[in-house]
Amino acid sequence: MFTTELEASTLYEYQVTNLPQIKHCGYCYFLFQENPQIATQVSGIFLPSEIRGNYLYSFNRDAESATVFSASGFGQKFLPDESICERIMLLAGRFYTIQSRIQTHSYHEVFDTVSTYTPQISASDLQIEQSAISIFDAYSNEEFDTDIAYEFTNALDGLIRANGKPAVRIINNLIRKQILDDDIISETLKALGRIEDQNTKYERYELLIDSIKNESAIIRDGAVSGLSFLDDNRALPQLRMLFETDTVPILRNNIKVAIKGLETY
Amino acid sequence: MKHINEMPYFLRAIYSNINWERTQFPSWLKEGELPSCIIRDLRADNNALSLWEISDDKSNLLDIVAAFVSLRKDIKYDFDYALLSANYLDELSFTHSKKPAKTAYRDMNHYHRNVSNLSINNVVYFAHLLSRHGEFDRMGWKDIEARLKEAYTRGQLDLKKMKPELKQQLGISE
Repeated sequence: MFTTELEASTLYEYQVTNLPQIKHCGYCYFLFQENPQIATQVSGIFLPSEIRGNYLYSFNRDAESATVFSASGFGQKFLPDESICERIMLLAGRFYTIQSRIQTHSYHEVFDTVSTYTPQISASDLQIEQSAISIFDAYSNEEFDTDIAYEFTNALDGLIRANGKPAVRIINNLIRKQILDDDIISETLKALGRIEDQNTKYERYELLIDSIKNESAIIRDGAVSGLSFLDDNRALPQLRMLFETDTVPILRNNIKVAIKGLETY
Repeated sequence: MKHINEMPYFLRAIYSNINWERTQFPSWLKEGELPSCIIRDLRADNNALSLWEISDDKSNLLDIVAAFVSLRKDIKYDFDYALLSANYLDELSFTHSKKPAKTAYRDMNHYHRNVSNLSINNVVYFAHLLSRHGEFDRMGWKDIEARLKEAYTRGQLDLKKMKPELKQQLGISE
């Protein structure tokens, strides 16, 4: 039986056989109520009021679906809401969207709720996403005013050349999830401009144009530099508009520098 | 004694001029305080800050920036900097001395200065000086690229000091 690596510290394998309709390869049992140590470990993730009952997370071999079972404890009826199930999915290292949810008392009269999830992304996209996250993690504490920026660009370049347009889309999704610091996002946008890969140029351009609307000035600045590095005159109208509307004085100056570079050379 | 607008400037390379923008300071800062993140721009190796002397008409500014970038791997790099009028350093008796740099742009190396014997208090004071009186700006990568190519054409670059990646991007072959 397959055992997830994430079980070691906070979960343990809860082997159940013959669960209906799903070809299982592993289970993670969240003992929130019965194990104070685990309850403490997850206390940063779940509110005390949410740490009730037990949850069983199961997944199939190709990671195409997952199920969260909620078990009542001590005769209580507790139905976890969707946000709790989604956080369990995040704990388990996957990003899922809910597919269906049913309430049942039929499974050995143990489980109250069965929620079936499908991944937001395919297994191959998940692999790309994990590679991207590894790159971001590796460079998250680096100072980019050195040649580190060059190495970071090379790392993202390798990921994008190996995986093409899906890699740009996945990087965009990671940026939107607000799990990355503004500085690393800004450097990512600069790197996306530096990469010289015609196959993904349009997607990178679109991502950069979209990012000049970000509420963070650091991220907008990274997008402006990225567009300058991409060296595509199509960005001029949007940059001129941004120059007219942006309220951060030094950023307006930086936009002007980018416009001058695109106009002059 | 030179008139204030005839004084040269000192250039300090910084990571991002956005971090020095007062409108972007965190709201929890008290009046007159600076965010601690900017200290990364004032790293003092051997208790000294590295600065570059810029002429009062800023005519050597682009060359100095090109000298700085001549040691990097990537030409696609926007160069953020702050300029501080030299009179502020003179007034505060900061000890600054010539210390030739080792960039590939030979003719610019003698513009390098070290402000030495700095305590942490000095560095913090310098940060306040820079924040209050500095001119923050950016040099675009295409201007830097063009100037490096010109310097190469004039034979002013020490190619042995340049990294292969940068030479390749500039189309320089030895």
